[in-house]
Amino acid sequence: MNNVFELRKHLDEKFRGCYELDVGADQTAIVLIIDASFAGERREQRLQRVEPLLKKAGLNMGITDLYTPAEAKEMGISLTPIGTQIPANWDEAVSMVESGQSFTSSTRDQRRPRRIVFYSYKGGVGRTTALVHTAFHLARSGSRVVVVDMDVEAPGLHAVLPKPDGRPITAGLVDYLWERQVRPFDPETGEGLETRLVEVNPGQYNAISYAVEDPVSRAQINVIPAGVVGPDYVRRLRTLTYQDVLSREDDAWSLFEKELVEQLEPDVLLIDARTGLGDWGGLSLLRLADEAFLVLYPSEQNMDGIRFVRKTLTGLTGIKSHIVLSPVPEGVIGQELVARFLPLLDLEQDGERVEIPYSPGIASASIYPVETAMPNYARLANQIRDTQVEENLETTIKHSNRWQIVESLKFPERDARAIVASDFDAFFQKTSDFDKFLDDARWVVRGRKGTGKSTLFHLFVEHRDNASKRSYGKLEHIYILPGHGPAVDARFRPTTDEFGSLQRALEKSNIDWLSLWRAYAIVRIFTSTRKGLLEPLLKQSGMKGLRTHLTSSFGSRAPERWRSEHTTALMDVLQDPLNGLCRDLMVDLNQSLGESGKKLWLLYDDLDQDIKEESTWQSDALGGLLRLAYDSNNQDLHNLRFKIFLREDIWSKLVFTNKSHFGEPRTLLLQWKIEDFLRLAYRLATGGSSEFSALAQRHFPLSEAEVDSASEEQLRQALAPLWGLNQEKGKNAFAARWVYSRMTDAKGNTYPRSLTVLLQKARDHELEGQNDSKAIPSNRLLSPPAMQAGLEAASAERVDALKNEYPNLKRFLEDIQDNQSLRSQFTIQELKKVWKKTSEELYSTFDAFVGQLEASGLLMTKSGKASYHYGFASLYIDGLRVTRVQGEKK
Amino acid sequence: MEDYEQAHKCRLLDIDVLLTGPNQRITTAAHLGGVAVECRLKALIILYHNISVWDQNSKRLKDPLYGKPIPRTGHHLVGAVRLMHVLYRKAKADPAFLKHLERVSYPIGATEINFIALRYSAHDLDLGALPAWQQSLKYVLGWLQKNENLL
Repeated sequence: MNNVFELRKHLDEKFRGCYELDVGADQTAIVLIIDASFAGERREQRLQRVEPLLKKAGLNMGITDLYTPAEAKEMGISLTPIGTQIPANWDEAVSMVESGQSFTSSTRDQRRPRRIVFYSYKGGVGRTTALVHTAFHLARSGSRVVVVDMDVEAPGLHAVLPKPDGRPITAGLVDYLWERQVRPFDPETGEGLETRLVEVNPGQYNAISYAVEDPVSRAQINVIPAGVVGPDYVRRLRTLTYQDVLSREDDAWSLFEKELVEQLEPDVLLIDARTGLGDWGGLSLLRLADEAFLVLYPSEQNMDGIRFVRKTLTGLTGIKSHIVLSPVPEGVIGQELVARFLPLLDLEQDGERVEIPYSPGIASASIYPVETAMPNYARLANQIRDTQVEENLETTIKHSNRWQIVESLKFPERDARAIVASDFDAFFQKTSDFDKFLDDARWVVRGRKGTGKSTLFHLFVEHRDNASKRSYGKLEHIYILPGHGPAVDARFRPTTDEFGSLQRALEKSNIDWLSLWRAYAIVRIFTSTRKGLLEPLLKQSGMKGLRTHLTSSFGSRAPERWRSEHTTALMDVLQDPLNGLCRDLMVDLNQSLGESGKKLWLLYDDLDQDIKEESTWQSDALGGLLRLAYDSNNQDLHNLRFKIFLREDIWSKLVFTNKSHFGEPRTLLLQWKIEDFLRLAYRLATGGSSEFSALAQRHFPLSEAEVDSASEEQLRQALAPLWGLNQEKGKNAFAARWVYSRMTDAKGNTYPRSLTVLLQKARDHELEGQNDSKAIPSNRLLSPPAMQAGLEAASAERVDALKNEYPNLKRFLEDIQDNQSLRSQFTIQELKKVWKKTSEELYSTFDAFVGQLEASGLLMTKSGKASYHYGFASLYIDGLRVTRVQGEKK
Repeated sequence: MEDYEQAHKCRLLDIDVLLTGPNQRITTAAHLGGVAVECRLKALIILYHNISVWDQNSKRLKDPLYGKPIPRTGHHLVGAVRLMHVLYRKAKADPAFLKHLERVSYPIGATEINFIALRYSAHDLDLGALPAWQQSLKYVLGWLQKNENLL
């Protein structure tokens, strides 16, 4: 099928507007081309230009007529524009899809309501129930909703939503359409007609619609039943011709919609469609639907039909169709059913379907909506709203200077210091981990390289004002100092070599690291701007020795650089009696802070740099600092808090006494959740371009304060002008989710820097294609191919980052890149082979090697039933330049 | 308007004469065979759309061309079938019909000139190809007759 679409593209390139192509049974091609380029060529030569294209598309040569315009004129042959209308039944639809014809939905006339069709292949699955509850959701959020019963062969909507006055209905849609198709009438006055859409003068006409009121919100829904089932109904239905619907401006359906707009002005028309593959169901889905919900029970009986319907719809009209599984039994049975049948639907993403759980309330209901079941249908209403957002976006972008805005987009890379300082208001992204960080009880802040540890460190130790802005008063009584780390105020600190010297001295003197970290903490406070905290305490008579030593060794002001004399002086503090005085001073400081209602935080960063990695004493050194945090807490020194930033892989390998006390409540793993990630994308885009910011605000106004509390759904909408709401027009997969999932590694880590790389490359790629003839997306600034190019660039950047972070994996990664030694998914044997070739020297066992690959977030282990044992996280696939295994989505 | 039905019958009689006896005139017969089918199709179109002159609007309800002018189809045989929606759908579903219609349209072979251009041909056709062409003509006319009831 796709091949014929491709063929049409080729023919469009060579003979645009000069050909007809159709495909009969056995893939027999029927072709007529009238083109001036055939002049001077014999038929054989003409065929040589066309035949290979047909064969490439898998077509058999049927009837191929190839003429110049002059020849065609002489023979009375011309191109006949037949079949330019969207088919109204499945037979024609299939025929058109097979011949590569499609009708991409053009922009809807904004005056008419959006037609949302609820369809089920089999009956009894809760289609009408889903429609009714969705209608109430939409009405409650302010939409004007009309529901119409087009299940004309088994009408029942009026029984679910009866007339409020309790009287029976007298006419419906079938009567309305029949009358306008069959009877002569005056189109201006309506004279000659018995039906009207709404009641104007009671008793004058048969009104086919009535309003029902939502008991909760008092919002109204207009109901249009199919008709009163009886002899007249059956006769009228039989004589109605469904093909006429929407074929002319004055056909019965067009008149119906015209009156609908005049009288009720609905935003949406929810259509309850006929089941199966009959004419009325086909008409609703193929010709009427702007969007469709395909409701089915997960069973064999439904699968083939729904798959066929969805495939045909996608191939022909490209409208959005959502899968609704209903009713799904509760518990394991339901989960197993869904797991068994879902793969058969060939969905792009698992999350695409909505599951409606079985509800006893619905089964026994006599009044709708069933309030307890309403939440189950909220997502359906959201999906309808999402499409509305896309439509609005198209209008907004249409009225903007698209290329100017794309050009204005800027995503320069910013380091942690710039983000928390000059760029703070525009670019600092408060993640959901931020508030956890403010929790006194979190001692360890863990995270992969690039997840924002340093940003937090710089923010709190150097840009207190900015930190306070986002902390909403929680920092009011807290002093914050760098315990160790690359802060401007903490330039005076030991680095790798000095820590090596300290280690040797500690070993020689048999002193533990905990004491060293405590003494160093005191030196840090003593040499900091908060020296005043210690001064009154050091003036106590018992502290004289310590005061004298600190003053003589570390001066009254912080020295510029850490020198060997400072290493010696620090070691001296570890000797009694000074060591004992240090302990006392900590107790005194805690008490003094408590009396003034204050707390002191000491933040530690860059320990992965300064405490030699992979050294025999790395664990002792870091373990000593962590024990200091734990011991201080144990000694009730609650006003002194240590917050230690550690790279996740170092933390996971760390072994020290009391590590078991560093459970979930004590540590914080920095991770970018999807909301954080989207907030960052929003800040990057709006902060870098005032033009984009204005466009975004026009489309989905979001104040600065709202950005931090916006839900994923709101952020998806706010970002829609940038990269679209959906990954591609007409597809259900959300663009934002696609970006997030492609930017996330196998351990669930996402990297802010990669997002910057992606967006910058996507923007550049979009501009490069500015003069191409390709279709420009009307509902986004960065088109899907541009986003794909961005992803490739971000992936390459991540692979480089991985090589730096894990030097031992460098050879393995380069072998994959250079020799394509693995594909995107592979077996254990294939991986072993590459391990032996590249990494056996560094990782003596295969398990250790796999463990490292997993820890790095590169490797995903597949479930037992999969054909491959492992796969690369999609974030790395493009950067590794590996081939995707068949069926793996980009 | 021309009497296409009668013209079709006359051309078939012409073909009979041309192919009877020792001096068969195959090229002319093939040319007239195409013309016979063309006439038959035109007669069907008039019937199908219930028109009395070309470019009159179709009166065939439920057809995509209902209410639209029906053009004279010229010498394009498949184009003529295409004007009759119901018949065309049937034709598309039968690959044998399409194969035979193609041979009637291009009697000398798929890579050669069509049945109309044959009138300028200075050579007579290969006698060996005659039975296949005759079979195709018979199939196409038989098929149209059999499916005429659809109209």
